[in-house]
Amino acid sequence: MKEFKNVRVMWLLNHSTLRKFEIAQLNQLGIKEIFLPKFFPDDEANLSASVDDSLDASLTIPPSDLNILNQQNWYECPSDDAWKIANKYFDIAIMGFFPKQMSAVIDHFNGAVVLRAFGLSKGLSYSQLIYQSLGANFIDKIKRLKNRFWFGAAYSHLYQVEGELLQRRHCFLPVGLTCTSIRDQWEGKNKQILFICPRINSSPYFHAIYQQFIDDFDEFEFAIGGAQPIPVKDKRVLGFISNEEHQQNMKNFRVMFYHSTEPNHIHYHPFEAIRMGMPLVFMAGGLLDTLGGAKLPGRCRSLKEAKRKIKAIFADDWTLINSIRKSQNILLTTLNPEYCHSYFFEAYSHIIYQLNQHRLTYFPKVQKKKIALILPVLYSGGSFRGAKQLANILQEAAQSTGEKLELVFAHLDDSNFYSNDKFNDLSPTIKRRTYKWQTLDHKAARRAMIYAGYSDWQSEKINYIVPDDGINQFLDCDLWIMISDRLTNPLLPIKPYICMVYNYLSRYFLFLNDSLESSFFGAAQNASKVLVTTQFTAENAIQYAGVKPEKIEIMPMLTPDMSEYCISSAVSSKKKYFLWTTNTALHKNHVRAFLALKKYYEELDGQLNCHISGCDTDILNRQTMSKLQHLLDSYAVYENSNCLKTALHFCGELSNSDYVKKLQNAAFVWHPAYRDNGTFTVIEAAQLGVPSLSSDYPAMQEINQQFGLDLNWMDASDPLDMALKLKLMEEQYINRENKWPLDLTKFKHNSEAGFKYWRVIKECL
Amino acid sequence: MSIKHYGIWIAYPPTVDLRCEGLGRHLAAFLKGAAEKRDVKFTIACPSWGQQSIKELCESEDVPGDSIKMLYPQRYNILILIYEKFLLRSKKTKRWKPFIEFFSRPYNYLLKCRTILTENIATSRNIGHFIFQGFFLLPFLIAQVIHFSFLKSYRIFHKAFNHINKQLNFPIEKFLKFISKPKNSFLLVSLFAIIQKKEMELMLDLIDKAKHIKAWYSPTAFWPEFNLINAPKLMCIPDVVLAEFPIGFSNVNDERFVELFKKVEQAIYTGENFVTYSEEIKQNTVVKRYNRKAENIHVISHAPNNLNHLITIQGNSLNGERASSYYCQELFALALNKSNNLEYILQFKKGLSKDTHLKFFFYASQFRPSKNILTLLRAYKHLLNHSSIGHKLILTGNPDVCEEIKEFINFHHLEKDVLILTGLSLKELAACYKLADVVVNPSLSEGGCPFTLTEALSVKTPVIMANIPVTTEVITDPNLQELMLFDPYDWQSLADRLEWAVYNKEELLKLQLPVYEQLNLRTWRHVVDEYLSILDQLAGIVPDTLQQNKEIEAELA
Repeated sequence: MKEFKNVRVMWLLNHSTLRKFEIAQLNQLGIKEIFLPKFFPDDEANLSASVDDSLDASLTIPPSDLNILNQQNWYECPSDDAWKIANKYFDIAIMGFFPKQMSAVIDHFNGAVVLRAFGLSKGLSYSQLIYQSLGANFIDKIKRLKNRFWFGAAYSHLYQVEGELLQRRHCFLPVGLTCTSIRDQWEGKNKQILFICPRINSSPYFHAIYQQFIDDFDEFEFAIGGAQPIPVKDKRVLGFISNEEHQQNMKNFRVMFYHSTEPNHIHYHPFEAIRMGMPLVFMAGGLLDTLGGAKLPGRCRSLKEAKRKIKAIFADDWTLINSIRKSQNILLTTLNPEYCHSYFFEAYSHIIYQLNQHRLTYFPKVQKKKIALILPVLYSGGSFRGAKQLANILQEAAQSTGEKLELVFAHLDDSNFYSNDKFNDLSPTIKRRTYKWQTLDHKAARRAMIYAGYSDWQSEKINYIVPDDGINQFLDCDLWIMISDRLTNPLLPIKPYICMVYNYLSRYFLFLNDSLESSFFGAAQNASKVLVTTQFTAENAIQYAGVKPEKIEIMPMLTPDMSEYCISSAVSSKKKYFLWTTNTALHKNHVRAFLALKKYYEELDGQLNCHISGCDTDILNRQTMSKLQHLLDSYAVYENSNCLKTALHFCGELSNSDYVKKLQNAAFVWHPAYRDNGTFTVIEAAQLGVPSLSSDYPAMQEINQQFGLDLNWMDASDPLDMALKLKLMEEQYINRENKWPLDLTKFKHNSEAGFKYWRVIKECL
Repeated sequence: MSIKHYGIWIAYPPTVDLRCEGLGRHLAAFLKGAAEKRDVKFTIACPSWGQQSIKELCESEDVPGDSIKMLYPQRYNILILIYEKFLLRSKKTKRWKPFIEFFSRPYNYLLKCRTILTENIATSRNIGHFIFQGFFLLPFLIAQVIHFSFLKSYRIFHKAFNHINKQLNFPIEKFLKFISKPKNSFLLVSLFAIIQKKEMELMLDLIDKAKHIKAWYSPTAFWPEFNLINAPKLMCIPDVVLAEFPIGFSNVNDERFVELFKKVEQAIYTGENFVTYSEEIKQNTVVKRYNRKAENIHVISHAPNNLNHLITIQGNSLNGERASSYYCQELFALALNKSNNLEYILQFKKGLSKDTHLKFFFYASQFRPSKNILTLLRAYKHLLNHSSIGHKLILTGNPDVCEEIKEFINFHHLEKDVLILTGLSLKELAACYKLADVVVNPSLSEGGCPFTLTEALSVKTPVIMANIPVTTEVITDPNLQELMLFDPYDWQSLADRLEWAVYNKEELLKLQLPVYEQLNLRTWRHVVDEYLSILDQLAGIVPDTLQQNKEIEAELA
């Protein structure tokens, strides 16, 4: 066993009976250094789990390192330091089907990885579960492990129901018992059936089994064993009992009935009964058939047959009892440690050989990465500017760290909307690519996934979408970054993608139908990571859209750089207007804003004009505005006020330079919107020495805090308060201007932000 | 001299014409190269229906008939026999064409009469005239009523038929589809698959008995059954293009491709020794995607495809170059007749003469998702609109298989500038290569370096190509790479290269011709030698180097 001598194993499970058996098998192979986890999930399903630190003494790694390993929860995501230690000292990691554990091990461990599989219910497969719980991209990650990954099936036939990948990576690691000798202590004096069914009140699966059993066997005397984390109000259910009591029960009860017809999974207790010499009556079609029970006298094809046999056993039919007892020992053959040893030897020899081959031939290559930043809809305002900024800072960050990165900036194919001049501020090294959304029906989607190597993927939706660049649908890129969740159909999971999410306004305003909103939720849920810029949006993503918290990353806001526009001395101190940047979206709070303005001019004698700029703002004073249902009331306010008609100037969408001029000459910026992701206008204004009056809501509070803007606040739900604050700003803006400029260094952190974005994005590559 | 026997496995389903398959030309070149070897004899194992197709391929590609042996199940499958009769019957319907043409003339004449009569009656101011002409129009009106009634009844019948079909859930539609287009029917494809499987079992029995054949070669990975041969085997994996363009191919041939793809994957997973045409397919497809051992994968690149002999006119009394040029113009004129926009071409050709040089770019390729035609079209449209270049763009391929290409051409009104010529003969293809100003290949993926390179240079036309690994394996000079290769994901890059190539074609050709000369040193004989060397190795045969050297010397002499 020379090849096993220097092998160290991380056995990342806590099942007590299994541990006893497998550690003994590994020891028998010659593997003496085994790490066992010291924490396991506090899940009632882990009733058979326990912690064992007895093997720590045999590990020859430094105690400080062992200490770090022992502090980790290996079912979640251990620390980077822990993985460094694991990779330094260990060769094989053995994991169970715990999605977070699998994800962490596959992502971080450099040795051989064995996924232990003990079978699932009929009709289910591990391949399906991987797709469901970890997504198609996880399959890709497993594939990248090549010969380092193994599907360690406990039963030799398990791989047959699996998909192509697990079939190919299958190795047989039988499950067994440390001892299979027959104790033959059974007496059977108690004429009752012993039925084992744990977790009756905490697992719907076991509850159904319990219900079925008591319905079927109500004519018999019986007791139900198995741990019950929630007590069952049925005297026949034994609940928690000591091992001694359990052994005693098996000794005294007349017969054990095993109900399962699952072909791929079995429990330990039938084997315990056999060892005790207790007659086992079991249903045909289950795994016991495969293990040699197909012709046993205890096997029953129907419930009727089972009842008949149990009745005969109760009626002291010793011929039947003895024939069952005598013949059933064959079921222990495949659980015999000696029998299992040869398979363990074969499997681990192979695992170690392939690992050594990998280590000999593996040379890490620095490969150029290609990322597509995709604008999913026609964005023109802040989102568009932000996307370009993100592209630029990512490129810079990658360049300055010496990493090879090619960025593709993708937008919808609409040359009227996206004219070339709109990309002047995009780094010339970033290539632009146009695309249109292509819809694939579920059949075509499945075919595409099969061709892409996800042969077991099953479509769950009727249609899927892919960005079609007319070349190869961006499959030349390693990662997609969707610059919002506005995807009208689920994205085909053929590439990992990151989703930027700006807000969940639909939580506060009813403007999306359920189907569309569900698509947006799906876009975020299925992403590898969800990037948000405020804690407020992060909370909404978790609480409203159902995004897993571990997927969410709060990223720095990318501030617009206004340094080229210095605070001009020519800017007059006496200003004639304040600036309201808005658009026609529902959350811009137009009605209250118009009402506030009306009060400001008509009741408070407001002296400053209001200049309104932003996308589509030129229609806010026109009849066309009345076509938008949510602007009807605003239009009515405007139409009935001569003061508003005189004081309001509708500028529409301004060019960048016009916008800056407009901003520079404003007395202050007015932001009366309601609960969005905040506006950058206040940041831009601050850089130009212009103060702002804003609605008080979480995202704006975060912006205020992050950049130290010293914003003035108003209550966006109260037009009177808004008007009063406008008047106050009119009176005080000069005093406030004198406090500016603020600490401009706060706005200069884009390169730092770039590194942060790059670090997070790299994790998905 | 002892003769070595090797086998080639070909197991296409019925109705496949090898002459139309990409593999066909490669196989023919291989067989021609093999025919020159005196110490090797190849046997082709094929289904009973395949031998005819192989014979036709050999005839069309001038492969000496006696150089190969055939091994196939002797008795023909009855269903296939019936199907082929059925196919032949549908082909015979073409015989009605002259009759249809004959009757269409009087029919058109009658239609004209009806129009004139209608016009006369509608504008008539004379009652006698009105009745007289009305008398002649009456038969037309009766015919019209009958026609209308028939149409109405047909619609009612069709509606009722559909209703019954839905109620009974009877696959009438599928049945009708099968009758009208049997080859595309899923039922037929499934039947073929069953028949093909059985036929392959028979082939395996025959191969089992042919013990003198020491090793077998499969020129493609379509047939996992090849791996069941009980002798050393070598399988060629030209590429797995579906895996590289999964979305693009998801709507091509539906489930038929899925079945084919699964077979290819199974063949790769169960095979042991492989050949690819390029290092790229070896590393990125077979090793990386399918995790097969690199040491069992051999790379054998193609020999160049020379088209020059097809268009070279020789004769003492002729100026060869001029005669060849005229010949090319003639061939090109014929090729233009195969355009998708024939009406325009017929008018346009009036302005063409033997001395007129039509300026065009040329890309000879099928329309497949991997061929990147849209990028070429985008670049071409840009050049047409934003530069002084007024060339046409000539493509080959079937435009009906790619809706996007048609849409792009129509949307940008390029119908008269992008000409798609389908069904070109090899000579016409050579003429297009010869007369093009620049040949361009934007393909994103190929099994080996695209034949475009040597086909264009063999007729002394400069070529620009996509910067893809299979091409940079052959074009290794960084300077030349910079001049002739473009980023296939960036139409602007293609446009820049194409524009440069148009204005600097002599310079480009001057740099490219030495590369071609170098590549041209390799012949199909060399290719075959490399295959044989691997087969020898697998069969455990020590190569007779002395004999080989003698043959090479003889060849050089």
